[in-house]
Amino acid sequence: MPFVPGTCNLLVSRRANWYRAGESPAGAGHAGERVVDHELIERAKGGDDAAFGQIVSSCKGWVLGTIARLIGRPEDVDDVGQQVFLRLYQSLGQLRSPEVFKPWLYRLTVNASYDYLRRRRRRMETRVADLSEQQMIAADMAEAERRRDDAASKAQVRELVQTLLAGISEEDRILLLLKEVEGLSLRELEAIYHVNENALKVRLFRARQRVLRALPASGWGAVRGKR
Amino acid sequence: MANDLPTDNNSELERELDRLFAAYREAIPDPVSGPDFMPTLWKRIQARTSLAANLRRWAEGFVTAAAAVCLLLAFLAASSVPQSFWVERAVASPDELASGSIPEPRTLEIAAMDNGGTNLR
Repeated sequence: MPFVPGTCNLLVSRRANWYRAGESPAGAGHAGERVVDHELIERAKGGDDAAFGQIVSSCKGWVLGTIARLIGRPEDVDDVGQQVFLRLYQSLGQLRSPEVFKPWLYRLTVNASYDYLRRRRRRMETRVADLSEQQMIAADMAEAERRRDDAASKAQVRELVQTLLAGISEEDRILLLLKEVEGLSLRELEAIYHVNENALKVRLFRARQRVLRALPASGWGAVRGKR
Repeated sequence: MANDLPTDNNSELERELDRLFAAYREAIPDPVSGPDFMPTLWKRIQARTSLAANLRRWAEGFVTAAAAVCLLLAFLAASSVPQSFWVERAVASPDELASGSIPEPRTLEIAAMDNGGTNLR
Protein backbone atom coordinates (compact mmCIF):
# COMPACT_ATOMS: atom_id res chain seq x y z
CA MET A 1 0.00 0.00 0.00
CA PRO A 2 1.45 3.39 -0.92
CA PHE A 3 2.29 5.77 1.87
CA VAL A 4 -0.27 8.59 2.10
CA PRO A 5 0.95 11.21 4.56
CA GLY A 6 -2.49 12.57 5.40
CA THR A 7 -3.93 9.14 6.16
CA CYS A 8 -0.94 8.18 8.21
CA ASN A 9 -1.09 11.34 10.30
CA LEU A 10 -4.78 10.77 11.00
CA LEU A 11 -4.10 7.27 12.21
CA VAL A 12 -1.13 8.46 14.20
CA SER A 13 -3.17 11.11 15.95
CA ARG A 14 -5.72 8.47 16.95
CA ARG A 15 -2.99 6.42 18.61
CA ALA A 16 -1.46 9.58 20.00
CA ASN A 17 -4.14 9.82 22.68
CA TRP A 18 -2.50 7.22 24.79
CA TYR A 19 0.96 8.14 23.54
CA ARG A 20 0.40 11.55 25.11
CA ALA A 21 -0.92 10.09 28.34
CA GLY A 22 2.59 8.89 29.11
CA GLU A 23 1.36 5.50 30.29
CA SER A 24 1.57 2.58 27.95
CA PRO A 25 -1.28 0.11 27.56
CA ALA A 26 1.08 -2.59 28.83
CA GLY A 27 0.94 -0.70 32.09
CA ALA A 28 4.57 -0.73 33.13
CA GLY A 29 4.73 3.00 33.75
CA HIS A 30 7.28 3.03 36.53
CA ALA A 31 9.74 5.28 34.74
CA GLY A 32 8.96 8.21 37.00
CA GLU A 33 10.33 6.45 40.07
CA ARG A 34 13.81 6.27 38.58
CA VAL A 35 15.31 9.31 40.24
CA VAL A 36 18.90 9.55 41.42
CA ASP A 37 20.04 12.15 43.91
CA HIS A 38 21.70 15.05 42.08
CA GLU A 39 24.32 15.50 44.77
CA LEU A 40 25.29 11.86 44.35
CA ILE A 41 25.76 12.39 40.63
CA GLU A 42 27.91 15.47 41.22
CA ARG A 43 30.07 13.55 43.68
CA ALA A 44 30.45 10.66 41.23
CA LYS A 45 31.37 13.15 38.50
CA GLY A 46 34.08 14.46 40.79
CA GLY A 47 35.62 10.99 40.99
CA ASP A 48 33.98 9.68 44.18
CA ASP A 49 33.86 5.89 43.63
CA ALA A 50 31.60 5.33 46.64
CA ALA A 51 29.02 7.69 45.13
CA PHE A 52 29.31 5.87 41.82
CA GLY A 53 28.75 2.57 43.62
CA GLN A 54 25.59 4.01 45.18
CA ILE A 55 24.34 5.14 41.78
CA VAL A 56 24.91 1.64 40.39
CA SER A 57 23.05 0.11 43.35
CA SER A 58 20.06 2.40 42.93
CA CYS A 59 19.80 2.08 39.13
CA LYS A 60 20.87 -1.53 38.71
CA GLY A 61 17.35 -2.95 39.08
CA TRP A 62 15.64 -1.04 36.29
CA VAL A 63 18.70 -0.98 34.02
CA LEU A 64 18.99 -4.78 34.17
CA GLY A 65 15.21 -5.16 33.78
CA THR A 66 15.19 -2.95 30.69
CA ILE A 67 18.13 -4.85 29.21
CA ALA A 68 16.44 -8.19 29.91
CA ARG A 69 13.32 -7.14 28.03
CA LEU A 70 15.23 -5.53 25.19
CA ILE A 71 17.58 -8.42 24.51
CA GLY A 72 15.25 -11.22 25.66
CA ARG A 73 18.04 -13.38 27.10
CA PRO A 74 18.24 -13.28 30.90
CA GLU A 75 21.56 -15.16 31.01
CA ASP A 76 23.42 -12.32 29.29
CA VAL A 77 21.85 -9.46 31.24
CA ASP A 78 24.63 -9.07 33.83
CA ASP A 79 27.29 -8.80 31.14
CA VAL A 80 25.42 -6.12 29.19
CA GLY A 81 24.54 -4.32 32.44
CA GLN A 82 28.21 -4.16 33.41
CA GLN A 83 28.96 -2.76 29.98
CA VAL A 84 26.37 -0.01 30.59
CA PHE A 85 27.83 0.99 33.97
CA LEU A 86 31.37 0.79 32.61
CA ARG A 87 30.39 3.27 29.88
CA LEU A 88 28.64 5.39 32.49
CA TYR A 89 31.82 5.49 34.59
CA GLN A 90 33.87 6.57 31.60
CA SER A 91 31.45 9.19 30.32
CA LEU A 92 30.07 10.63 33.55
CA GLY A 93 32.45 13.58 33.29
CA GLN A 94 30.72 14.64 30.06
CA LEU A 95 27.30 14.85 31.69
CA ARG A 96 26.16 18.47 31.41
CA SER A 97 23.74 18.51 34.30
CA PRO A 98 22.26 15.93 36.71
CA GLU A 99 18.78 16.61 35.28
CA VAL A 100 19.64 14.73 32.10
CA PHE A 101 21.13 11.79 33.96
CA LYS A 102 18.16 9.44 33.44
CA PRO A 103 17.86 9.82 29.65
CA TRP A 104 21.66 9.63 29.51
CA LEU A 105 21.66 6.30 31.32
CA TYR A 106 18.77 5.09 29.17
CA ARG A 107 20.74 5.98 26.05
CA LEU A 108 23.74 4.01 27.33
CA THR A 109 21.41 1.10 28.09
CA VAL A 110 19.85 1.20 24.64
CA ASN A 111 23.24 1.47 22.92
CA ALA A 112 24.71 -1.45 24.87
CA SER A 113 21.62 -3.52 24.01
CA TYR A 114 22.00 -2.63 20.31
CA ASP A 115 25.63 -3.69 20.41
CA TYR A 116 24.71 -6.95 22.09
CA LEU A 117 21.93 -7.69 19.57
CA ARG A 118 24.27 -7.03 16.66
CA ARG A 119 26.93 -9.30 18.14
CA ARG A 120 24.36 -12.02 18.81
CA ARG A 121 22.95 -11.81 15.29
CA ARG A 122 26.43 -12.34 13.86
CA ARG A 123 27.07 -15.24 16.27
CA MET A 124 23.72 -16.86 15.49
CA GLU A 125 24.25 -16.64 11.76
CA THR A 126 27.53 -18.52 12.18
CA ARG A 127 26.09 -21.02 14.63
CA VAL A 128 23.03 -21.91 12.55
CA ALA A 129 25.18 -22.28 9.47
CA ASP A 130 27.44 -24.71 11.36
CA LEU A 131 24.68 -26.96 12.69
CA SER A 132 23.69 -30.07 10.80
CA GLU A 133 20.01 -30.94 10.40
CA GLN A 134 20.23 -33.69 13.03
CA GLN A 135 21.72 -31.29 15.51
CA MET A 136 18.89 -28.87 14.82
CA ILE A 137 16.29 -31.59 15.51
CA ALA A 138 18.06 -32.58 18.74
CA ALA A 139 18.15 -28.94 19.80
CA ASP A 140 14.42 -28.59 19.06
CA MET A 141 13.65 -31.68 21.16
CA ALA A 142 15.71 -30.40 24.05
CA GLU A 143 13.90 -27.11 23.79
CA ALA A 144 10.51 -28.89 23.78
CA GLU A 145 11.56 -30.83 26.91
CA ARG A 146 12.51 -27.64 28.65
CA ARG A 147 9.13 -26.14 27.92
CA ARG A 148 7.29 -28.77 29.92
CA ASP A 149 8.06 -27.07 33.19
CA ASP A 150 6.07 -24.35 34.89
CA ALA A 151 7.88 -21.51 33.15
CA ALA A 152 6.85 -22.83 29.75
CA SER A 153 4.14 -20.28 29.06
CA LYS A 154 6.40 -17.37 30.03
CA ALA A 155 9.07 -18.73 27.74
CA GLN A 156 6.49 -19.01 24.99
CA VAL A 157 5.41 -15.39 25.48
CA ARG A 158 9.06 -14.30 25.40
CA GLU A 159 9.71 -16.20 22.22
CA LEU A 160 6.49 -15.08 20.62
CA VAL A 161 7.29 -11.42 21.23
CA GLN A 162 10.84 -11.91 20.02
CA THR A 163 9.57 -13.61 16.88
CA LEU A 164 7.01 -10.90 16.23
CA LEU A 165 9.58 -8.17 16.77
CA ALA A 166 12.06 -9.92 14.50
CA GLY A 167 9.96 -8.61 11.61
CA ILE A 168 10.96 -5.02 12.32
CA SER A 169 14.35 -3.36 12.49
CA GLU A 170 16.44 -3.48 15.68
CA GLU A 171 16.01 0.27 16.14
CA ASP A 172 12.21 0.07 15.85
CA ARG A 173 12.08 -3.00 18.06
CA ILE A 174 13.91 -1.24 20.87
CA LEU A 175 11.86 1.92 20.43
CA LEU A 176 8.60 -0.05 20.55
CA LEU A 177 9.68 -2.00 23.63
CA LEU A 178 10.74 1.16 25.43
CA LYS A 179 7.32 2.66 24.74
CA GLU A 180 5.03 -0.32 25.10
CA VAL A 181 6.79 -2.48 27.66
CA GLU A 182 9.00 -0.10 29.63
CA GLY A 183 6.25 2.51 29.68
CA LEU A 184 8.41 5.49 28.72
CA SER A 185 6.55 8.61 27.63
CA LEU A 186 7.17 10.30 24.30
CA ARG A 187 8.87 13.13 26.12
CA GLU A 188 11.30 10.69 27.70
CA LEU A 189 11.93 9.00 24.37
CA GLU A 190 12.56 12.40 22.82
CA ALA A 191 15.20 13.08 25.47
CA ILE A 192 16.83 9.71 24.86
CA TYR A 193 16.85 9.77 21.07
CA HIS A 194 17.11 13.53 20.48
CA VAL A 195 14.41 13.10 17.85
CA ASN A 196 11.33 15.23 17.28
CA GLU A 197 8.16 13.90 18.97
CA ASN A 198 6.20 13.68 15.72
CA ALA A 199 8.91 11.65 14.05
CA LEU A 200 8.86 9.29 17.02
CA LYS A 201 5.07 8.94 16.79
CA VAL A 202 5.26 8.06 13.12
CA ARG A 203 8.01 5.53 13.71
CA LEU A 204 6.19 3.97 16.63
CA PHE A 205 2.97 3.82 14.67
CA ARG A 206 4.57 2.10 11.70
CA ALA A 207 6.42 -0.38 13.88
CA ARG A 208 3.24 -1.18 15.80
CA GLN A 209 1.26 -1.62 12.58
CA ARG A 210 3.78 -4.12 11.27
CA VAL A 211 3.62 -6.10 14.49
CA LEU A 212 -0.18 -5.92 14.45
CA ARG A 213 -0.31 -7.34 10.94
CA ALA A 214 1.80 -10.31 12.03
CA LEU A 215 -0.11 -10.92 15.26
CA PRO A 216 -3.06 -13.03 14.02
CA ALA A 217 -0.73 -15.66 12.52
CA SER A 218 1.68 -15.65 15.46
CA GLY A 219 -0.05 -18.19 17.68
CA TRP A 220 -0.69 -15.69 20.46
CA GLY A 221 -4.32 -16.84 20.62
CA ALA A 222 -3.27 -20.38 21.54
CA VAL A 223 -0.70 -19.20 24.08
CA ARG A 224 -3.19 -16.81 25.68
CA GLY A 225 -5.79 -19.60 25.88
CA LYS A 226 -3.38 -21.75 27.91
CA ARG A 227 -2.59 -18.97 30.38
CA MET B 1 -0.52 -23.08 15.41
CA ALA B 2 -4.01 -22.06 16.42
CA ASN B 3 -5.25 -18.85 14.98
CA ASP B 4 -8.24 -17.60 16.96
CA LEU B 5 -7.44 -13.91 16.83
CA PRO B 6 -9.74 -11.60 14.90
CA THR B 7 -8.18 -10.39 11.68
CA ASP B 8 -10.81 -7.84 10.70
CA ASN B 9 -11.41 -5.92 13.93
CA ASN B 10 -8.46 -3.58 14.33
CA SER B 11 -9.26 -2.30 17.83
CA GLU B 12 -9.59 -5.86 19.13
CA LEU B 13 -6.20 -6.66 17.62
CA GLU B 14 -4.77 -3.55 19.25
CA ARG B 15 -6.03 -4.76 22.62
CA GLU B 16 -4.57 -8.20 22.00
CA LEU B 17 -1.20 -6.66 21.22
CA ASP B 18 -1.39 -4.61 24.41
CA ARG B 19 -2.16 -7.81 26.34
CA LEU B 20 0.78 -9.54 24.70
CA PHE B 21 3.15 -6.71 25.66
CA ALA B 22 1.79 -6.79 29.22
CA ALA B 23 2.36 -10.57 29.32
CA TYR B 24 5.89 -10.02 28.01
CA ARG B 25 6.55 -7.47 30.75
CA GLU B 26 5.27 -9.98 33.29
CA ALA B 27 7.30 -12.83 31.79
CA ILE B 28 10.56 -10.89 32.20
CA PRO B 29 10.58 -9.11 35.56
CA ASP B 30 13.55 -7.00 36.69
CA PRO B 31 16.24 -9.63 37.28
CA VAL B 32 18.29 -9.84 40.46
CA SER B 33 21.94 -9.40 39.60
CA GLY B 34 24.44 -12.10 40.48
CA PRO B 35 26.57 -11.77 43.65
CA ASP B 36 29.68 -11.00 41.62
CA PHE B 37 28.07 -8.20 39.63
CA MET B 38 29.77 -5.36 41.50
CA PRO B 39 33.20 -7.01 41.92
CA THR B 40 33.29 -7.87 38.21
CA LEU B 41 32.17 -4.36 37.32
CA TRP B 42 34.96 -2.81 39.40
CA LYS B 43 37.48 -5.19 37.84
CA ARG B 44 36.36 -4.17 34.36
CA ILE B 45 36.50 -0.48 35.32
CA GLN B 46 40.00 -0.95 36.75
CA ALA B 47 41.18 -2.83 33.65
CA ARG B 48 39.83 -0.10 31.36
CA THR B 49 41.26 2.68 33.53
CA SER B 50 44.71 1.10 33.62
CA LEU B 51 44.60 0.59 29.85
CA ALA B 52 43.75 4.25 29.39
CA ALA B 53 46.53 5.24 31.81
CA ASN B 54 49.03 3.09 29.89
CA LEU B 55 47.98 4.66 26.61
CA ARG B 56 48.32 8.11 28.15
CA ARG B 57 51.80 7.24 29.45
CA TRP B 58 52.83 6.01 26.00
CA ALA B 59 51.43 9.13 24.37
CA GLU B 60 53.23 11.39 26.85
CA GLY B 61 56.48 9.48 26.30
CA PHE B 62 56.08 9.83 22.55
CA VAL B 63 55.44 13.58 22.80
CA THR B 64 58.46 14.03 25.10
CA ALA B 65 60.68 12.05 22.72
CA ALA B 66 59.41 14.05 19.72
CA ALA B 67 60.10 17.32 21.55
CA ALA B 68 63.62 16.14 22.45
CA VAL B 69 64.33 15.20 18.83
CA CYS B 70 63.07 18.61 17.68
CA LEU B 71 65.32 20.37 20.16
CA LEU B 72 68.28 18.25 19.10
CA LEU B 73 67.70 18.99 15.41
CA ALA B 74 67.33 22.69 16.15
CA PHE B 75 70.57 22.63 18.10
CA LEU B 76 72.38 20.79 15.30
CA ALA B 77 71.06 23.21 12.71
CA ALA B 78 72.14 26.19 14.77
CA SER B 79 75.62 24.87 15.54
CA SER B 80 76.59 23.61 12.05
CA VAL B 81 78.97 25.78 9.91
CA PRO B 82 76.89 27.75 7.43
CA GLN B 83 77.72 27.31 3.74
CA SER B 84 78.57 30.72 2.38
CA PHE B 85 77.11 31.88 -0.89
CA TRP B 86 79.39 32.57 -3.84
CA VAL B 87 78.82 36.31 -3.47
CA GLU B 88 80.06 36.22 0.11
CA ARG B 89 83.03 34.09 -0.92
CA ALA B 90 83.79 36.33 -3.88
CA VAL B 91 83.76 39.36 -1.66
CA ALA B 92 85.91 37.54 0.87
CA SER B 93 88.52 36.37 -1.68
CA PRO B 94 88.48 38.27 -5.00
CA ASP B 95 91.71 36.44 -6.11
CA GLU B 96 89.89 33.16 -6.13
CA LEU B 97 87.23 34.70 -8.37
CA ALA B 98 89.91 36.03 -10.72
CA SER B 99 91.55 32.58 -10.98
CA GLY B 100 88.24 31.11 -12.13
CA SER B 101 87.71 28.61 -9.31
CA ILE B 102 84.44 30.28 -8.46
CA PRO B 103 82.23 30.42 -11.53
CA GLU B 104 80.92 33.76 -12.57
CA PRO B 105 77.20 34.25 -12.48
CA ARG B 106 75.56 33.74 -15.83
CA THR B 107 73.59 36.60 -17.15
CA LEU B 108 70.25 35.95 -18.56
CA GLU B 109 68.90 38.39 -21.00
CA ILE B 110 65.25 38.41 -21.60
CA ALA B 111 64.25 39.71 -24.94
CA ALA B 112 61.78 42.44 -25.32
CA MET B 113 58.16 41.46 -25.19
CA ASP B 114 57.55 42.44 -28.84
CA ASN B 115 59.67 39.45 -29.88
CA GLY B 116 57.03 37.20 -28.54
CA GLY B 117 59.03 36.28 -25.46
CA THR B 118 60.81 33.45 -27.26
CA ASN B 119 64.28 35.00 -27.40
CA LEU B 120 65.87 33.66 -24.32
CA ARG B 121 69.64 33.64 -24.40
